[in-house]
Amino acid sequence: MSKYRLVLLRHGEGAWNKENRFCSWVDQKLSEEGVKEARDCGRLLKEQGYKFDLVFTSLLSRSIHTAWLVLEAMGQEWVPVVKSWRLNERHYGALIGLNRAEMALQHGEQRVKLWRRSYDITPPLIDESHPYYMEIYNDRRYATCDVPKENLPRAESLKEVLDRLLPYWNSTVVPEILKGKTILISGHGNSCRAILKHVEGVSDDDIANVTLPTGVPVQLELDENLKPVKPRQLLGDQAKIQAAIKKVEDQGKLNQIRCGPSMHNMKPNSGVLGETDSW
Amino acid sequence: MAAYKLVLIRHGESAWNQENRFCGWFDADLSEAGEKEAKRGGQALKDAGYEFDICYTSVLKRAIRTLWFVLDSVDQMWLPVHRTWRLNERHYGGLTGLNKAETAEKHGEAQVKIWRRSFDVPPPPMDEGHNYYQNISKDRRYGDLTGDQLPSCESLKDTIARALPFWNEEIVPQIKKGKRVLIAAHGNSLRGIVKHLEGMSEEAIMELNLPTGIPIVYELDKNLKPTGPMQFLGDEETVRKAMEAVAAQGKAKK
Repeated sequence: MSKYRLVLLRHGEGAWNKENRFCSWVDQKLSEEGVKEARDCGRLLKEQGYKFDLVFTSLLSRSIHTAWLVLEAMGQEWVPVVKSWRLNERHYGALIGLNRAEMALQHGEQRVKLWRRSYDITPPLIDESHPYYMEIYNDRRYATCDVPKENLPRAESLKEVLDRLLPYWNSTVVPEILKGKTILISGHGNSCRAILKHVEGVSDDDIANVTLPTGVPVQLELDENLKPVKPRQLLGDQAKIQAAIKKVEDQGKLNQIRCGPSMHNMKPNSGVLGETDSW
Repeated sequence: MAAYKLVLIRHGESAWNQENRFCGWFDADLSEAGEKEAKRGGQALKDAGYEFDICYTSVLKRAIRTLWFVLDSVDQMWLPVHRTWRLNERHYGGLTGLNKAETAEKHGEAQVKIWRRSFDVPPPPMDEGHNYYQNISKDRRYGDLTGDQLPSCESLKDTIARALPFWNEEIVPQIKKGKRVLIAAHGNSLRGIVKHLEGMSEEAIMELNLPTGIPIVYELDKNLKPTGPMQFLGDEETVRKAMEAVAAQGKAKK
């Protein structure tokens, strides 16, 4: 019997998604399509009668804007929104701004495959020579974090994402869940995956096969120990969900890198999705 | 050189403004014109290079969405935002939902005049039979308010009395820590802050109608006393019109 309910949402398309470039900590805005995805998601959650008490987002505009659009569609603009860098997208280090083809060219297919598939191998660090270094580290928001700017990541594996997310989850998110609050987390592909890994106990190997489509709310129902009582549920029209999954997969196909064997691994409603954009 | 700077912004036109209806705690949305006002206000702050550290607003969407448009314009969507019922618009009680003509019809012109000219006479309460009672008094967002806190109607005096504790206990300490504050709220809750900052009389604050959608800047000394009159931000014409409108208000009532 589920005691608590939590909704995760991966924000929709930003301008760089279209070009298949790794956005990561660059503060891209949502594209028009991404705005539409967020509004549709809000309408769906409203139809299904969700009443949120608290929303968490990262410090990146696209996750905040997504939360705002969802709350607007639901008439719940008054719900408190709490923001933290610890929910930011995974930091891709020197790979930020490259698209998948450029990456393969620069680093070789094998290395890229390793960075993609592994749980704990960190990409090369970003440094001052990188075209986006200043834009990121001179941004005032990173002077307001609970760690000094020098200690913020310069690149992350998925493991490192969970390492910096988990303290926040435990100190700030969990107490609110335990108070019975209905929570929405408006996050990114990898910060959402890190949460799923932790909550669902997904192994280091299996997490590579878990991807979330964009703009589709994911409902988790948890018992009093915050363990899932059933598989995660992707909410909404199932045909639309399959289309969203396919869209993310097709982005993975657009380059010449093989994505691995699990493209056809989809089991509808099982919550296990084929590997696609699992960065 | 002022110790602190404070920016206030009153939201623009709502759907009910268009219909000339008493809005108060009804959660009317911005009209298209109101959205434009918010964007223009945001642009004025962007052009002047304003940076903030913390934002405050009410729990009504017309103020929250105004703040969101502004934060988007100044590219500071990541700022912490605190929402509070204490910055809500004045609660118009039984008048909520009535337009100005209906109000005169229902209550008589003389009574309406009293309510308009009074600082401390509240409108009739919104009772359980009122068509907006469920919508407002039973709304989930007010679930934590005690029986004493949840109003059924407010005079301007009442509005100010519940806004100022928040100003004193939450906002002032942040200003004194050097945080640059932005407040997006409503005509009457902002009147509360302005009356307090400038030490205005009850008569004077009732005459003051803050312009909408225009950032209002106060420079404050270390005791949070304004070092000069409020300034408006925007293009020359917008600012001039706003200043003239405010100046004319004091004169019109003679």
